[in-house]
Formats: sequence, structure tokens, C-alpha cells
Amino acid sequence: MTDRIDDERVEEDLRNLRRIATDVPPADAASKARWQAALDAEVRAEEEPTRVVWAPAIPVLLAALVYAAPMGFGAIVWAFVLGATYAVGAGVLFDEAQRGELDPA
Amino acid sequence: MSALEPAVVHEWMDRYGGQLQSVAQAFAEGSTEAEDILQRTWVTAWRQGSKLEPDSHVGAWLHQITLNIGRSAYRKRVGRRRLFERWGWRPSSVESPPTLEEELYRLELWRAVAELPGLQRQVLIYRIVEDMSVADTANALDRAEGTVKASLHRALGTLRRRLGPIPETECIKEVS
Repeated sequence: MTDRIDDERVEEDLRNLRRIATDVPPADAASKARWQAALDAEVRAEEEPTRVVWAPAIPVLLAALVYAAPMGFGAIVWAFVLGATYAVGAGVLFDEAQRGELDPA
Repeated sequence: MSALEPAVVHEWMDRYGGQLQSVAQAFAEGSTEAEDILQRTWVTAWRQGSKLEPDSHVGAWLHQITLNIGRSAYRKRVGRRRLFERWGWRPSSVESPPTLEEELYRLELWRAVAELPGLQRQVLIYRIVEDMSVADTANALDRAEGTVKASLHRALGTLRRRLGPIPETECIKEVS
């Protein structure tokens, strides 16, 4: 008997919780359009792997090498490593900016 | 692992968008953060949806994702606020006061559900979101019915302790 009363109370509570939790108005069309656009942009970004655009990167690398050349072989190696790292980063950013993926915020 | 077709997620947006929006609002400070939680939910659903079994309960699964992302965002914000307060800076709250009693209760409810232990949370979500019986919930979670019942009792007990007696929805509407 007590078990039945307890079960009934649980079911009553669940009914109330269900109505509170799920009885909400559907999302409006503008929200759904925003979500779909954001998801589609994410899908596109995932499908197109990020490329390095070398055109803006090469002058940076060359400038680093020219600057380091009078300082000897070690400096040239360091300039190449640091310049290439920077250049690749710049190239990736350039590519993302071209595709409009950079978040202005 | 291949991701789902975005069209499938678009369908879920139509079907569950409104419900998940109210879950996200429970953890967000303002509509922008709620929107962010929801966007992350859809992206996660798209990435992981291909792992779902054909007979999975998508509504419950999406609610779990939103709760996890929302809880994490909420904790981060609370942590940041504590840190700022320790530095003596009091941020002004942009949280708008809920206008309806039911809305207020709904927000508190989702926050409390998110803090429940894993199985209790799953059982409660299956029962209130998917409207499943004890037997179906036990079947879906691959647990004994007794375990499901006990988890449900504990979950409801925790909610009653935290939020007070679970009100009848008609009463809430009368108050508002």
C-alpha cells in the first residue's frame, strides 16, 4: 500500500517536472536559421583543411635570412627556423582571413 | 570517424531547439552565452551523432550534451567571478530577472539536474524528456528496473531538498 502511494507520488512529481521542463515554446525561425548557418560554417571549415598560403610568407622568410646573413651560419639557421615558423603562422592566418573564418571578436 | 549529415542536425534543431534553448538559458548569463552553449551543443551532436545507435533516444542524448556544456560554462563563470571578487572587482550582473515563476523554477531545475550523479541524471532525463516508463528506461540504460527506480527516488529526493517540494504546474501558473 505504502509502495503504491509512493509510486503514485513519484509519477505525479514526474508529470509536473515533465511539464515544467519540456512545456516550452518552439524555437523561432530566426534562431533556427542562425544555428543552421553556424553549423554549416563549421562543417565547411572541417571539410576544407587549412592551407598555408606561401605568397605572403616568402618575403618574411627572405627578410629574416637577409638580416641574419652577415651574422654567420648559426644566425642563418636560427633565422630560417624562426622565420619559417612565423611565415607558416602568417600563411595560415592569411588563408583563414581569405575564407572569412577569422572571428573579428 | 565520419560526422553526420548536417541535415539530420537541422531536423533536431526543429524538433528540440525550443526545449534545449530553455536548458541552455539555465546556465547562461544573458542570451549571447545561451546561444553559445546551444551552438556548441549542435556542433558536438553533429560530430558525435554517427556513434548513436539507430534506436537511440536523441532527445535525451541532446539534453545530456546541453547539460554538460552548460554546467561547464556555468562553473567557469562562477570561478571567474570568484577570482575577480577576490581582486576586489564586483562585476555588474547582466542577468535579467525571470518574469514568470515557472521560468524561474525551470532554470533552477536544470541547474539542479546537471549536478546530479551520472545515473540519476540519465534516468531523470529519460523519464521526463522522453516520457519513458521504468522498464523502457532500464532497457535503454541496460540496468535493472530496481536500480532505475532507486536512482529515480534518489534524484527526486535531491531535487526536493534543493528546490523544495515539486510544485504542481497549475499552482505555478496561478502564482505567475
